Amino acid sequence: MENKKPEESPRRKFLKFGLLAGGATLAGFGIQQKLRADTIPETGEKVKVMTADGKLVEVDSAHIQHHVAESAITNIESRIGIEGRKFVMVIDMARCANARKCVEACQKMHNKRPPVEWIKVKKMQDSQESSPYWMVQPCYHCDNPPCTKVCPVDATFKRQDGVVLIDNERCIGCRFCMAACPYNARVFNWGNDWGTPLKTGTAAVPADSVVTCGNKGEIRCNNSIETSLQDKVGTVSKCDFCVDMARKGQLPDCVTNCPNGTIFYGDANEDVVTNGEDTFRLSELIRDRAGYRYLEELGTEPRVWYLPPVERNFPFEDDPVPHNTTE
Amino acid sequence: MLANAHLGPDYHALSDQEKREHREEIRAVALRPLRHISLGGKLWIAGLVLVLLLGGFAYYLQLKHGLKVTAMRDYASWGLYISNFVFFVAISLVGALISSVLRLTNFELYRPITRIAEIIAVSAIMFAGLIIIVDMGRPDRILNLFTHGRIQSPIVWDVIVVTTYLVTSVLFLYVPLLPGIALCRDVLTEKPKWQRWMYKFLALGWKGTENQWHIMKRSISIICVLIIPLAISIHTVTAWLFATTLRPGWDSTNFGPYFVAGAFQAGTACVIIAMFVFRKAYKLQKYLTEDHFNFMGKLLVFLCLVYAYFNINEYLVPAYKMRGAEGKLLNDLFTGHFAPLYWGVQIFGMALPAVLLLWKKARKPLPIFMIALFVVVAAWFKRYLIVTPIMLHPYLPIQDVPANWAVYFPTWIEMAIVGGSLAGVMLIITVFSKFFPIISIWETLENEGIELEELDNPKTEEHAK
Amino acid sequence: MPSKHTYTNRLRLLKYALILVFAGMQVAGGRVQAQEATITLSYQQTDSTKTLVAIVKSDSGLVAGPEVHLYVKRLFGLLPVGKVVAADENGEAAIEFPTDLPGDKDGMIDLIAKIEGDEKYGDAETEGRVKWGAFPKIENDHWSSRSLSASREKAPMTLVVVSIAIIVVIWSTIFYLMYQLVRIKKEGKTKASTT
Repeated sequence: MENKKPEESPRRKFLKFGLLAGGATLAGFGIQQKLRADTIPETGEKVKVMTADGKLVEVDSAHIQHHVAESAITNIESRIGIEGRKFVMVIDMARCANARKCVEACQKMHNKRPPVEWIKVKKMQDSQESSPYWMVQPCYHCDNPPCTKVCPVDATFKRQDGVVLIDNERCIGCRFCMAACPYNARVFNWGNDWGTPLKTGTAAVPADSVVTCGNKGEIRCNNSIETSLQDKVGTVSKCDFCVDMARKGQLPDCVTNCPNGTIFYGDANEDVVTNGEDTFRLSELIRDRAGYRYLEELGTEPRVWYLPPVERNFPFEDDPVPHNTTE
Repeated sequence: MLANAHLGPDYHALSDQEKREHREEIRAVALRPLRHISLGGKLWIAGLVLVLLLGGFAYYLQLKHGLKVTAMRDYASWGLYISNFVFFVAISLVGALISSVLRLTNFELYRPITRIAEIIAVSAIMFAGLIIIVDMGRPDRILNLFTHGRIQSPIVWDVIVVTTYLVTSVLFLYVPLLPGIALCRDVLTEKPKWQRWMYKFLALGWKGTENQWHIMKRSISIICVLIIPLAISIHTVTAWLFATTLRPGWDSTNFGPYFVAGAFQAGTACVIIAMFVFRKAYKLQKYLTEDHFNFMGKLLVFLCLVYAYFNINEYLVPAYKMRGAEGKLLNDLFTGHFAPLYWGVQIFGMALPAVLLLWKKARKPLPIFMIALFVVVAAWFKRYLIVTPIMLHPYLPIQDVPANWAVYFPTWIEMAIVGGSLAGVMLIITVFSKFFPIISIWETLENEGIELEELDNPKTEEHAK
Repeated sequence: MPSKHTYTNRLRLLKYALILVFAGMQVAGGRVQAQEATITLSYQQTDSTKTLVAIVKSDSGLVAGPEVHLYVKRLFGLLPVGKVVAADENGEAAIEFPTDLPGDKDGMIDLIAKIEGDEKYGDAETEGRVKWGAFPKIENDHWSSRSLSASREKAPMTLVVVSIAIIVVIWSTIFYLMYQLVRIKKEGKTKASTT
C-alpha cells in the first residue's frame, strides 16, 4: 500500500488541484477513484449484493462501488446525450511511452479482460524510413459514423454530444457495424463467458437496486447504455468515451491513468481539453501542434485528434513482450 | 435457329392415336419419379437428412456456447456463414435468368429447364435467409428488425428484398405448376390421403378452362417482368453489404454488377448439374436433350466471359495502382497466403471452363456436368475470398491479439452448419421432385405445337386408357 | 583537476543551500503575518479588446506586487487564460482576455482570478461572471438533421419516400398476382357448378 504512493503521484497532484479549485464534485471523484484501487482496507461491514447472474453474495462494504446514481440515466436520455456538449479527445503521441495504463484502466473500469480492449496501443510506422511511434486508439466517435449508418436496428447511435454508443439490449449481433468501421474499434462478445462477468467487489450491484433492474427499458441497474459495465453475449461493444463520467464532470479512466498525460479529453463547445494536469484550448493545441485526424480522407470526421510524435518525451522502445497472447 | 428449335416429332403430322400416346408418354415420364423411388434415391435423401441433422446439432452447440465456437473473431468478424449467404443468394438468381430472361427473349429451350431453375432459386433463397440468422449473435432478437428497423441500413434492404424475392420466386414456381398439380391430383390416386388432399388443395380447382389458362399465362408474364429487377436488386443489395463500407477491397463501385455477373455464372452451372442429375436419375433423356446441354454450355461460356470482364475490373484496375492497404490485400491474393485459392478459383472456376466449353465435345452432358461442378465449387470459394481476406487486411495493423485472431480457418461447427445448409438446399430440391413433376409438362408440349385444350382433361384420358 | 572542481561545486552547493534556508525562513516568517488580500474584478471592453482588470486590495489599501492568474471554469477543470500579470502601484493587474473563447449558451463566462502563494498575501481568489464568451458553435448538424447515420426516425426523406414507393409498387403487384390465384380457384368452382 505504502509503496504504491509514488506511482500515483500525478493523480494525487491532480486531486490536490481539483480540491484547490474548490470543485466539490472533483473531491467526490477523488474519493471514488481511491475506492477503485485494488488494495482497499476492509471495513468489516458486510453487505448483501446481487451479482449480474442473479447470485446473492456477501461482500465487504468497502468493495462496493455505488453506480446507482449514474444508472438513473434512462435509455431515452442515453440516446439523446448531454445537451450543449461535444466531447472530443486529443492524443499527444509525443508523450506516449506505451505504458498501456490506459488499456488496463479501461479494462478495469468496464469489466473487460484481455484480449478485449476498447482502447488499443499500436506500434505504427508510416514508412520504412520513418521512425516508429505508439498510437493510442480508442473509438473515434466519428461525426459521419459508418457504423451507425449500417446498423439495422438503431442499436448503435450518435448522440448530440458527439458520442456514439451501443444499446446491447437491442443489438442483434449482425456485426455489420464491425465490418463498416474502418478502424476496427468495435469488439464482439463471442461467448457467454467472454470478457469478465461482473466481479463481486469491483462493480457489484447493491441489493436494494434489484427492483429497478427489473424495469427493463427504463432504468437499468448499474449496467446502462452509458456505463456499459457489462456487455451481453452475442452483441457488439466498444469505447463509450466514458460518458457517464463526463456527465459528472469527471475524466475517463484512460485519461487519468496515463502516467505521461498522453490523452486529453474535453468539450469542443468549450474549446478546452485537459489530461487532468495540463489544460489547453483545443483549437490552439491543434493549430500549434499540427493536430490531425487518422485517415481524414475517409470522411468519417473522427472526434479524436492526434498530435504528431515530434520532439518526443520518450525515445521509441519496442515492446519486449507480446500482449494478449491467449484468449 | 436455336431459339425456335422444336423438340421431338412434328406433332401435327401425328395421328390422333399417336398424339394421345405422345401425351401419355410425357406424363408417364414426368410422373414416374413421383410413383417410384429407387434405392439410390432413398440413400441420397437419407444422406442429406443426416448432413442436415449434423448441421442442426452444430447450430445447437453454437446457440449454447455462443459464436466463440466459430473461428470468427474481432478482425475476421464475418466468415463462412456470410460467404455461404452470398453464395446462396447468387445461385438463387438463376431462377430469374432461365425462367424469365429466356422466356421473354423466346429461347424456347428454357421450357423443360424452367422448373429446375425455379426450385433451385426457391430453396437457395430460403437457406440464404436461414444462414443469415445462423450468423447472428442474438437470433432471439430477430424481431428487432421489424420493431426497430432502420431504412438506412443495407441489412434492412436485404431483409425486404430477400423476402420479396422469396415470395415472387414461390409464385413463379407455383403458378406454372398448377396444371401439374392438377394432374397429380387426378392421376396419383394410389397416394396416401394427406398427399391427395395436398394436391387437391394446391391445385386450386384447376380444370384447365380457357379462362384459367388465360389468367395463368397472364400472371406468368407479369412475374417474368417483375422478377428481373427483383433478382438484380437482391444480389446488388447483397453486394452493397460490402460495398457500402470503407474497407479496402470492398470499397468498390464495381461490386453490384460484379456480384450479379458472378451469380448468373454460378447459377447456370448449378442448373447444369441439376439437369444432369435429374436426367440420369429420372430418365429424362428425351426431354432434357443434348441440345439443352449444348445450349447451356454456350450460355455458360458467355457468362464466364462477362464475369471475367468484371473480375478484371475488380482486381486488375486496383492492382495497377496498388494503393496502400488494398495493395497489401491484392499482394496477399496474387502471391501471398490466399494465392493458391485465388488462382485456383479464377482458373478452374472461370478461365478454363470458358475455354473448354468452346469445344462442342465439352458441351456433351457428362463433360459439361463436370465442368459445371468445378464452376460451382469455385464460385463457393470465390465468395469466401470476397469476404474473409478483406476483413484480415484492415487499415490499422492487427497487433496484440491472440494468434488465432489474425487468421481465419473455419471450425468444424461452421463447416457442419454450412454443409447442413447445402444439404438442405439439395434436400428441398429432391423432395420437391418427389412430389411434383420436375419438368413442366404443358410447357414442353406447348412447344411441340399442341393446343392447350387438348390437355384439358387428363383424367378422362387416363381412364380411356 | 577533477577534485578541485568537485570541491568548488560543493562550496557552491552549500552556499545555495544556505540561501535557500534563509529564504524559506523569510517566507515562513512572512506567512505568519500574512495580510489578507481581496481581488475585485472590473471588465473593460473596447470594440476589439476585452481586458479584465483585477484590483488587489488589503486592509491597508491598494496593493502592488502580487501576481494575478486568470482562469476560466470549464467542465473538467480550469483553463488558464491571458498572461500572469503583477498588480501595479494602483493595485491593478490588467489581463487581456481572448475574444474568441466560447462561453455557455448565453455567452457567459465564469472567471476565477487568483493570487497563488504570494509571499506576502498568500492565496486569494475571486470569481466573476461576464458575457464575454463567443457563442459556442453548436455543431449538431450531424445529430439533429435527417441523415443516413441518424436514428430511424431521422432517415432522409428521399430515402423513405423512394423505398416506400418501391415496396408499394412491387407488393401491390404481388398481391395482384395472389388475387389471380383466387380467380383461378373461383373459375374452377363455377365450371364445376355449371356443368
